[in-house]
Amino acid sequence: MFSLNKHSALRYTLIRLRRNYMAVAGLFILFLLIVVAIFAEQIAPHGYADQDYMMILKGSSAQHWLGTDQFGRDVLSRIIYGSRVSLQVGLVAVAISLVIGGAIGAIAGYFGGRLGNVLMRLMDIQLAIPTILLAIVISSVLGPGLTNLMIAVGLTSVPRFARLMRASVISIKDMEFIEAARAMGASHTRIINLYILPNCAAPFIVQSTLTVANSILFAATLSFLGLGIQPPFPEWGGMLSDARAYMRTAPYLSIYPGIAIMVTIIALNCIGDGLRDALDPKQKR
Amino acid sequence: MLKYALWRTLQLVPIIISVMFILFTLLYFTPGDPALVALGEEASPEAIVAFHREHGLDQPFFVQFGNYVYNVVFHLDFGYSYAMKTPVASELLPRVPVTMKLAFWAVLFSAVIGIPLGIICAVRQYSILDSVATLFTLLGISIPTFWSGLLVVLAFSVYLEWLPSMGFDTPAEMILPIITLSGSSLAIIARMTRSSMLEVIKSDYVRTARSKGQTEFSIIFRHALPNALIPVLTIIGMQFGTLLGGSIVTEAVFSISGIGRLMIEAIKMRDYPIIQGGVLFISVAFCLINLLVDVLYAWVDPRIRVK
Repeated sequence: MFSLNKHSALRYTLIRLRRNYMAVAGLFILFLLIVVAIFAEQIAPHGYADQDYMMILKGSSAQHWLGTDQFGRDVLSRIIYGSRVSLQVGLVAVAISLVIGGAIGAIAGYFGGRLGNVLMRLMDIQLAIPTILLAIVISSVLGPGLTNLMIAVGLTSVPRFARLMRASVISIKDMEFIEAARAMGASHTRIINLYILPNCAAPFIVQSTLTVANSILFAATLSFLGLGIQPPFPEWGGMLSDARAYMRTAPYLSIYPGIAIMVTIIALNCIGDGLRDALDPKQKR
Repeated sequence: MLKYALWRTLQLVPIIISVMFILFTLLYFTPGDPALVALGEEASPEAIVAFHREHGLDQPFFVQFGNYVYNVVFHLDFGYSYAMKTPVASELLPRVPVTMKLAFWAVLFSAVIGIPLGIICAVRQYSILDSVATLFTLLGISIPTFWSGLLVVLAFSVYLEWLPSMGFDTPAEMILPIITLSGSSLAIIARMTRSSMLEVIKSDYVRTARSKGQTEFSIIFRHALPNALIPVLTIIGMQFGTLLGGSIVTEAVFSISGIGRLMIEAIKMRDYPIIQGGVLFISVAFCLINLLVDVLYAWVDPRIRVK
């Protein structure tokens, strides 16, 4: 892999993380998912929109391991392609909220004053709207589609990152090494990027992992409500939404995509919990 | 105490007005003319102009916003649904009790099950029960509401045929939606109670109580629990907001005609005044509940009043 300083904090974190079996299992599942998403064309036995009119709403068979849906499309292949949407939305949405929220929080924490106050009040206002509702409003304004889904989900987590960033910047900015950097003539940008941000990384990494899980859940929920990805491209939430009409004739349609969501979220939550324990040894039992 | 409560209530006013402003702005700049929604795509230009004048849509942005705030605050008038051609309030208000009832029972259910579960797990840390409960709470936060809804319908309505899968009027109809909606909150409350209780049990004053020879029962319920429940109270308040939002999904799964289902229909028809009214209503309810929790908090914990 890559070489690590023998006594670096990262090295100790990884050692502690490796002892946490749940987190290791989570990382393994996440790795598998990423491989599946990247190589969907090679792994999926059928195309995601291939229709087989002889095989409509048929259960598991040798040809279609997880059965077929109301258009005779292979459920397994659709779940495999659906991983692309979930992972993309999860990662891009978190990147959006991390960059915007991080910037707002860093500015509010570092410079403080009136600007900081105004920015944080704005975040408070956003927190007054329940997150899922805000995501619904934003995506109904933007319209359906992958990009809009990412933006809608990403914007909803901005205040959480802003608050976290502000709190960690405030706890660090008056330390002596920052003062030393300032005395050496470092600019504000340099101080923030080189000295403050690396020291805020730990809570951010944990929050990001958990937010990826949350974003995937939100994206699936929006798709379930008909606000996400447009057919025929498969999305796990959207597949479950379609499955409702066939609960009596083809109940398996309501089960497999849900398992895919659940396993992904459990994996991410385990990684997040594991990282939190590994990055904060003081908290360890 | 009263001063604190009043001060906190006053602080809500700018927040609620800002929420209204954000919603109004978002939907104001959304493409699509409401006149076309109401009158159809082939409406004549004169009819459109007349429609704009009738609903004040020809006014400048800030005048429109001012009117909106004035009408909501003084007349409880949330505007006019262009698609249904009725006032938003007459669509929204009859559905409020349904959503409130759903969220209330879900909060109650998750607190009544979640708090004792958390306490037992903390008191018997590392026991089998603790491990099983930890696994279940992990499942609880990882399963999306809409899927758990589908699963309980599959199990209890389709296979076992014990409970109805639609509606929210009779007690039998209420069971599945409440279980579905409270799943993740129950897990979060149980986790929070457990970790907060563990922290308190390890504190010095609990050790003192123990060395005084207090009974285990008295230590847990008289000394540790009151302090451990303070952070849980905040979480419950926040969960109420999440549940009001989550009720949208639950209402969709169980065909319950509350605010959530109204909003989903509105989204499909691009009926923005209904969306605006629904989100505003839920946000205000959320703010009021958090206010209530904050005041309760100050009542329980006098240190907060001083700040």
